[in-house]
Amino acid sequence: MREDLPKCEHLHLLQMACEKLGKAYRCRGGTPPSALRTSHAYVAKVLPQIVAEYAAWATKRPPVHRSRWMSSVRQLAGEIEVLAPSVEREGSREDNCEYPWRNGTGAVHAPCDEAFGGVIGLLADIGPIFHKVLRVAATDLAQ
Amino acid sequence: MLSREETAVVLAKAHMDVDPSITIVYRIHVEDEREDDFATPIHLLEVTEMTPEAGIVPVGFGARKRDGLLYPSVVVQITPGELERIQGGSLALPGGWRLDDRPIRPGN
Repeated sequence: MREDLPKCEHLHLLQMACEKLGKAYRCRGGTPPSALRTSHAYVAKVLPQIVAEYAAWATKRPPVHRSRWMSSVRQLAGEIEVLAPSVEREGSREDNCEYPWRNGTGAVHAPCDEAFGGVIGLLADIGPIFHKVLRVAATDLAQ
Repeated sequence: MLSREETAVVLAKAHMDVDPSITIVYRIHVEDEREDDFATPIHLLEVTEMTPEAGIVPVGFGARKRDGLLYPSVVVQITPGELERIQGGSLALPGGWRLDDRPIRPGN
C-alpha cells in the first residue's frame, strides 16, 4: 500500500478487481456477460470458491487450520463486497469506499477519513496469500 | 489419464480438503457429455452452510493439465437448505442438468 493515499483508494481498487474477477469466472461458468451488468454483488459468493480452487493446487497449501482460514477468506470477501456503495447491506452499514454517508446521528463521514478497520484487519491476517491467489487466478484467465 | 468420473472425485476431494465446510459434493451430469470431449466441463454441486444463499451460481475453472486434470470444471456452491429445495423440486437446476445419485463425501 502507498502510505500517502487514503485507505479507501486502495480498497476501491481491490473491490473493483475482485468484482471483475468474480464476473469473469461466472462468465467462464457459462453465465452471459449481459446477465452480470446490473449488480456489484459477485464477490462474497464467488471469490471464496476461486480462492479455494487455486489454494487446492498451490504448491504451498494454506495453513493447517483450514476451516478458520476459509472462514477468514469468506469474511474478507463479504467485507470487500460491501465496499461498493450500491450493494445492499441490510440497512446496517453505510460505510463504503466511494461516497460520503451520514451515520445514525446525521454526521457526515467521508471515505478518505475512514479507517476501514474490519477489512484492513482481515487483509493484515490473510492478505499476502489472498493477493497471491487473486493474481494467479487473474493470470490464469488470460491464458 | 483420469476419466471424467475420476477427475470429478479428485476435484471434489481437493475442494473439501481446502474448505472443510464443504460436507458433500454431487457430480452434475449434463446433456451430451462425452468421455473424449475435453471442452465440456465437469460440473460439481458443492454443499456448504458457509456460502451465501444465491441460487444456482455456476463458476468456471480451466483444466489443470499440469496436475493431470484434462477437463475444465464448473462448480456450483449451495447451502444445505438449497439442496433440500433442489431435491424437493422448488429450486430448479438449469435445463439438461441432472444430479448423480452417488454423493462424494470427505471419507469415501
